[in-house]
Amino acid sequence: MHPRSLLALALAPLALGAAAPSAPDPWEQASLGLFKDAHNAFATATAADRETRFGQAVTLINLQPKTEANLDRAAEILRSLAAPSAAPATDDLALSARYFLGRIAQVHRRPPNLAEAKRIYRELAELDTRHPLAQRAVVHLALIELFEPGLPVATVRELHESFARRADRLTDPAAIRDFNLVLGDAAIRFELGDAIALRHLAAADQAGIARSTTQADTLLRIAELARRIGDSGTATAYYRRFLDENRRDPRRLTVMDRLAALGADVSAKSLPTSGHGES
Amino acid sequence: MANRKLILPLCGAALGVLCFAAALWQVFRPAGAADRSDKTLIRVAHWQLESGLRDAFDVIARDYERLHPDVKIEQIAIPERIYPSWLRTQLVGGTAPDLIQIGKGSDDEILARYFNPLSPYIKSANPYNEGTPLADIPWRDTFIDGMTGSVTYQPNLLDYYGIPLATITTRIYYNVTAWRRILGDTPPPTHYDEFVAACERILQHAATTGENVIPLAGSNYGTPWFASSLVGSQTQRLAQELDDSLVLQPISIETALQYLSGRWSLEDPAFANGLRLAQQIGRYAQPGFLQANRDDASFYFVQGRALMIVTGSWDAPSFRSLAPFEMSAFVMPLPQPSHPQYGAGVIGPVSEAASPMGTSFGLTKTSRHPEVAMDFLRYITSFDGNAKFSAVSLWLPSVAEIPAPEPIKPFEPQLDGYVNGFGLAIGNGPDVRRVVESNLGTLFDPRADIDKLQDTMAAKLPDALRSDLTRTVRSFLANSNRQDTLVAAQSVLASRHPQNPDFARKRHELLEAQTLQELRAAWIEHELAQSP
Repeated sequence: MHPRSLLALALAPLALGAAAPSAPDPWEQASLGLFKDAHNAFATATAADRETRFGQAVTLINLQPKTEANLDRAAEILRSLAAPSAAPATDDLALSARYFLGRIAQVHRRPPNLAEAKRIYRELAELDTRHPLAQRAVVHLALIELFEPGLPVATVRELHESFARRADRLTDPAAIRDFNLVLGDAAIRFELGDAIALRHLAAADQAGIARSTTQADTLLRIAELARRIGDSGTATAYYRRFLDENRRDPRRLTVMDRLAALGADVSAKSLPTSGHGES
Repeated sequence: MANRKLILPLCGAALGVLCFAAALWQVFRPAGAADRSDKTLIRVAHWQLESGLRDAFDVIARDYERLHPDVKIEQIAIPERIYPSWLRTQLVGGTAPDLIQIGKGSDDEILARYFNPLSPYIKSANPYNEGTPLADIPWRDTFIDGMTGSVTYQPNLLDYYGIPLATITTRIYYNVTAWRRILGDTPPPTHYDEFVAACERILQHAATTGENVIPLAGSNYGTPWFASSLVGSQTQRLAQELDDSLVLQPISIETALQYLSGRWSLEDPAFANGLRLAQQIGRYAQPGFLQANRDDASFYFVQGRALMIVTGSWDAPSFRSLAPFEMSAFVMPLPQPSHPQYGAGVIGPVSEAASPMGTSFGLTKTSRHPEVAMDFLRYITSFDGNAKFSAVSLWLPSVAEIPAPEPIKPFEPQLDGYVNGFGLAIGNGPDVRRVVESNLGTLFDPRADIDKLQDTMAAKLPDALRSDLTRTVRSFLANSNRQDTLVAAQSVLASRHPQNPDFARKRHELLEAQTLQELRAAWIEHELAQSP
């Protein structure tokens, strides 16, 4: 056996955690989930500029094993980037740092500190209403507040209406999409009205859904909501889009049944192709 | 004298060591050891030891070599049992083959660290498809599932890491020779009652002739699978009624939450009917079949002691080479909507449009000839290449528009159908699975009281469901947390490389995935708080 293979056989369980032989850009390493390698590269970089320190912080929050000490250290770096002097900074890196401070409080701490997360997100949303992560902070605020356990439905409705009024202020397509996915889902879950849910999900669809599974589900949700409120035109249009965009999906026949029930023409050309040469 | 006594054992030990060393060399030999010629060597490793599969690889490899005389393709078949450790050893040692079957031992970190993302390759047309119905279509879109399956697209890494060669379906295989001998010209069953009638006739035949034959080779693998499908047939309509998410299919966490909130129960007629159907099939398997594993059941079948077996299409080549009889397969027979006792919950036949892909190959970062390796994958998944691969291996093709070879027509996915309901493992979590598994003996006992089984399960389910759902929340949040660093990295890379749309696309996908995971986690926590 090749000596390298023998050595590797003995060290295989340990070696997985070791540094990759060549990955010069730590951001690329981080983008591949190689957080330890990326963090080591950021931590030993000769130039300790703001971006490098930001890199250190965002890789620290996912270093394994996850520890409170790492989160504290990450938060300390992020705070120094967010407010280097007495006044908060509003450049891209400072706003990003503030956003990740919110994420540490919301989802990384055990237990989460939702009050702190909401405070940070509110501040961030007010600091710069145009920055994509400031707009994303509004998405997180909506999710935290609408789904808080134990709220009476009347309170959820008021919160929902209040958030819905902020929809026009969002300009980043990803924030618009996710904000409307959250509000649409909440409207369905808490039975706030099918027309309201439909409006938000249609806005999410218009903003551009990124993943095919989310897209397929959203088209069906819009169609189903439209069918329930008697808007057969919208229902038909979205059922058809689902059929056009999902040539192999086990829900196609159910959708065709729905279309037929709406009086739509379900022609043979809409039938699924087998993919095995039968069509 | 003492020394002479030791000679024989020492010779034996030395021979053993030599054999072991030879075996290790065969498995772990480094790249290039097999070929010292000037040809470009592409090594392809997989765990498919079935003879049909290896033959198919060989045939396609030789075809490719004829087209490209400067290339040699070498196939390395590694036993499934040692595949994960072999894979790690090769990858860590830097001696990995160019193309490696992924899916066993290849988690996100392994893929990210040692495999190349395949996005750059799959957007352009496959040149080997020229002159076929798939000409000029992006390579990705020539696959039946558009490369959306779990063995190709890795949602956490937001990229494609595998090229699939085959489609997988589940069937009931049957011994055609014995079927004809015992049941005459009775065709294979198309629905549940015909299946039951055939099983009863086989039992009767065994009782009257004394022949040692049973209808179904049971195991703790295939029989619960069949049982769960039967339960799913009964809950088809119920699942649509419980479709709060409006996505026209059951979502496991929703079904679990709805059970906890009392929206449905095990006493629900649909689920209870499913249990009764499942109970019935226990009669048709060998005694004590829950102690039998997949291999035990396969032996029962290929030795002709059982007429039928439930398993995946991957077993077809092995059964064909091992079984001394003609073999075929049929779709799992479920009750029809018109069934007087078991039809009320049924909407219709079950669609197999979401059948998974398999035998997926990734490109290692250490490949010295990545372009040639990818070209070989293009060839084997071209219209003609995949058709030939399918014809020799007798596995279903992964590429669209290819007619399935005649012997595997029964395995073709049935596309005209509906989504199945939910089965036995409500919520799909490990704790509920343990509750179900600990009650399978009772479930498959024809004399057991279904009401008592429902009571036993109902007593344990709430805690198991809460535990599973809590674990699901943790899993959603752990994934979402991990994606925070990825979001930061993609944002920095997108701002540095505005001309490359991939970074922005990945950032968008990450943010959307985070939103949906956190939405689901928030809803589960909300609902668990409502039903403590």
